[in-house]
Amino acid sequence: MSSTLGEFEQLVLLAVLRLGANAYGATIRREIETRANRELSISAVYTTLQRLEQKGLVRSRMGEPLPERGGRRRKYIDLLPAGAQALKLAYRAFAGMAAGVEQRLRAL
Amino acid sequence: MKRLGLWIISRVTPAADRESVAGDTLERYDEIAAANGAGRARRWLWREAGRVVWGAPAHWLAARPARWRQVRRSRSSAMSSIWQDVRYAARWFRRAPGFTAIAVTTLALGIGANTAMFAVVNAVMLKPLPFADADRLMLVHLLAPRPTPDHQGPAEVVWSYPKYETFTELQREFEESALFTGREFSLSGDGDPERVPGEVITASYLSVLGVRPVLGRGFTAEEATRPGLPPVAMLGHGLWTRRYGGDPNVVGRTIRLAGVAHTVVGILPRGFHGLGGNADVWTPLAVSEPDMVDREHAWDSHSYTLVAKRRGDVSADQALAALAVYGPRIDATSRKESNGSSWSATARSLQNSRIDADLRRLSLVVLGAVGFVLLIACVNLTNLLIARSLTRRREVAIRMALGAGRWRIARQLGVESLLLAATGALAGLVVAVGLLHIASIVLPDSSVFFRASIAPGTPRIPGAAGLTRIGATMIGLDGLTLVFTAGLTIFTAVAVSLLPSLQTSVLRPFLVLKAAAATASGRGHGGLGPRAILVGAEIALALVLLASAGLMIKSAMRLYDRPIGVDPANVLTAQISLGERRYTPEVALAFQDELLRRLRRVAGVESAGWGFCAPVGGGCNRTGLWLRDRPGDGQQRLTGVTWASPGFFETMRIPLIAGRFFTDDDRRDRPKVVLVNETAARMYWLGESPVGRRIGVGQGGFSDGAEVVGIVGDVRYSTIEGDPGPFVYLPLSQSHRAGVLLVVRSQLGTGALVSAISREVRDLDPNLPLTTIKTMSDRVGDAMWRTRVASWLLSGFGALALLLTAIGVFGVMAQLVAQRTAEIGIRMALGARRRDVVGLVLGRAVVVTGAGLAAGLAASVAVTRALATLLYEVTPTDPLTLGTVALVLGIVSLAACYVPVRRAIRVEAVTALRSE
Repeated sequence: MSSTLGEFEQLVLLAVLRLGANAYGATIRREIETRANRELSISAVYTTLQRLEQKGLVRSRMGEPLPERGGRRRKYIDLLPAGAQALKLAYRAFAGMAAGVEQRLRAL
Repeated sequence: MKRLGLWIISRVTPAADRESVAGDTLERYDEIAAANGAGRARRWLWREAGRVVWGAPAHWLAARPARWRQVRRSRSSAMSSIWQDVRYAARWFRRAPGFTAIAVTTLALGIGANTAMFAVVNAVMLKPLPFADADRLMLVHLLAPRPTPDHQGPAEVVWSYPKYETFTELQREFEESALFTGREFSLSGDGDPERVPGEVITASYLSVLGVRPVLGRGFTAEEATRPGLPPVAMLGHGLWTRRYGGDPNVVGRTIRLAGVAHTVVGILPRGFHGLGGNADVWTPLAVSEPDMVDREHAWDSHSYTLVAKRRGDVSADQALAALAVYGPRIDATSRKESNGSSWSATARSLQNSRIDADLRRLSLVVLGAVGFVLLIACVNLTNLLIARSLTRRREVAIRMALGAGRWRIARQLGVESLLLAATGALAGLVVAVGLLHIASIVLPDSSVFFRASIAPGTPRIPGAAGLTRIGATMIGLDGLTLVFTAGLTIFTAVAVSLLPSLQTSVLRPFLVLKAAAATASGRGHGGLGPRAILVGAEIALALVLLASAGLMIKSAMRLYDRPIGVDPANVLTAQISLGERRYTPEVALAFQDELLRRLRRVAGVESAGWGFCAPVGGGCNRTGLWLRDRPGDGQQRLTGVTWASPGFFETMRIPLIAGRFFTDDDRRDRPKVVLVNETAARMYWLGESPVGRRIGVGQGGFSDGAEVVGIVGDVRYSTIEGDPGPFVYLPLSQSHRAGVLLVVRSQLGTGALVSAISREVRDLDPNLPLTTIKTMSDRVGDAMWRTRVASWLLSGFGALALLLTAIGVFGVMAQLVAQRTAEIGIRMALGARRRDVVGLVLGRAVVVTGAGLAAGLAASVAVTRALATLLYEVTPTDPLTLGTVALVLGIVSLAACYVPVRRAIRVEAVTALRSE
């Protein structure tokens, strides 16, 4: 799995990393909406999760039926080692490129 | 609302994620509702639903099971290899631009002509009628007894109002029925006076057709049937927008129709022009023609068409059976003396009334003919492809030797021909649009022929959009036509690739490659076998087409020579309506006399007169005729009736057979007089002279009797093809008509004459428009349009077929010479003379052409039978026509060999052998 991550895949993986055990569709989406400040649809999140799962970067497991969700279960997302590795590479590339120009980036 | 949004989101989400997506959405909804209120949350939910629907395809693609992904990958490799075929074919076409141009042009002409013809057939008879329950709508006609047993004239007659009333009292089979007829109105006030086509109708006309006014109301039954009520009218959408700017306040306003104030009560939907197809204004029957409602006098005034909606539980056959009973009973109700002459009634579905059987057949024949052209084009293309596949043998053999399967090779050929056919079809669509455009110029809407459904592209208001007349400009390429074209494309691709594929599939790579090393002298694999057969078939197909065209042309020539009973040269005709109230019979007569007097003084005018219906125009009335001086003979003889003034017969050059014409002395206060034509004299008086006898005529106030003062020559008033039938003329001076036909014979040019006439008319009455100004020759031309159009179209297709065949013969012969260059060279080196070489090549061509002609003649005899009813005084197997076209085709075919033969005799033995 050496293929590089797409930008939205990076955002989703970062959200999963931040949320830890509480990562599922609604929280991932809220995390991206508030932190990255962009509007997105729930299906966009799930589409990306499907792709990440197929690449072996994350794993999903179903939770318990919850009354506040009308008896529906949550699909929790765990970050797999390969996912962590890919995220690390992506962050390194980004940070490497940004190193030394943080001031100018902020000023843009 | 919230549940609906949630439902949509779950529906469009793949099953794997459906539960969690729905749950997540609900969580988020509750969050927003708690923070910002339910309204905000609902709006968010709808936006979210839109986004999820938008993203659904990507989600489904991402979530599909692994197994599918596998399949797709292998399919995508198949796709990419077909794509490879396409690119290969495209490259191959680019390398042979001449071949590609010829192939695409051939197909474009073939497919384009077919598409255009299909568009016509589609518009004329395939599209369903846009009426509510259109399948239950029928036109009901009376059937008149034939005047004599051997008389072949049409017997279907329209209705008089009193007979219609009797019919409605009797019948139980129809839910609703209505009468209508086309009339022209002069519309004045609010701008220039103009002539507006319209319909006089009964109240139920709109509800029978399921049409509702877009503004205002329809007519009440009272208005339609009780004379003396305030006049009302409805306007068509076109007239309303054109003349009144679409102002809704027109409803309730007064307009002047035929000089009488009518209150506008309704506006009809756009596209609806009545069953007549051109109406823009409607008036109730009792308002416009109050006399016709009179049971006493109007019993035999047959003027209106009856349209009726069959009850849902009554079949068409049951309705017909019932009508056969009602017909005689309606007749029996007549208080006119009747000796049991058997009137009846019948009906035809509106759908089948759209076009008559001959026009239907003509459309199909032309569609078939154009199909033949495409077949010929396919044969040509097949020949080209075979020729090309011969030159590609080595390439194919090498590919096969390297492991390409036969299927793979065949697919490559298939892709190539599909690409050719598709390119040809695209160009063909352009050709079709062009052809329809030309047709719309040649056949403008003012002389439209077919009655059919609404023009394509016009929005369908439910229940609106009547049986409009269609002109060529209204025919376009709609969905069905495009589907037809797509089918044609696939058919073409399969047809042209079949033979080359078969040939390739029996190819032995080993033999080909070995032979290539030795460049087979002589015929090698290049036998012309299948190609010669194809060219023969092509010649046969072309012969059938040319024979059909020849027969149609001969019919047209026969028709053109047919005497119509008048001399049409240098005669101008124009319609004038003296329908306004101030034109009492006396005033109208004075106007008519004065105008004739003035016109006869115009320099260049030879004579002038008034008539009623125009020859070969088909607009005459028919009525009963009684022999009053034959006591005990109450038989009513159905006879054509028209009106004339002194001068009419001289102007039209209708010969006087016996007695005298009408004169200025035949005034209203003098004894009533009539003229009869030769046919009537022969049929009713059986050799005795009718001059001096008394007859009654069912129209014009002549039923009590009038004296026959003369016999005039027969005039074909309805069609050129048909018999003239018995006719009686009433003098306009004794029987008033509001709409009359002015006829003027003059040496002046049409333009000068028309302006002279307009000037004189304006002088007498500035508000009186002239309409339908036509030379009599134009009227004859119009009456022949069907035969003429058919002979044009078939001749055009025949010429195309001839050209394609010549190209086909040329191609094959050129190929033959090229293949045998070496052989010819050897023969010439061994002492063969030019004559022998010519014989070698031409002999082959003669055999192929002869076989093709023989097959074509046999096929023609079988196929042209379909034309029989369209032909006029020509048998479908007319030997002269068949012989002529066979000769022409034979000459063209052999002429196409000229270049190949010349090439053959120029072969230099040394060059030919060196090229080995």
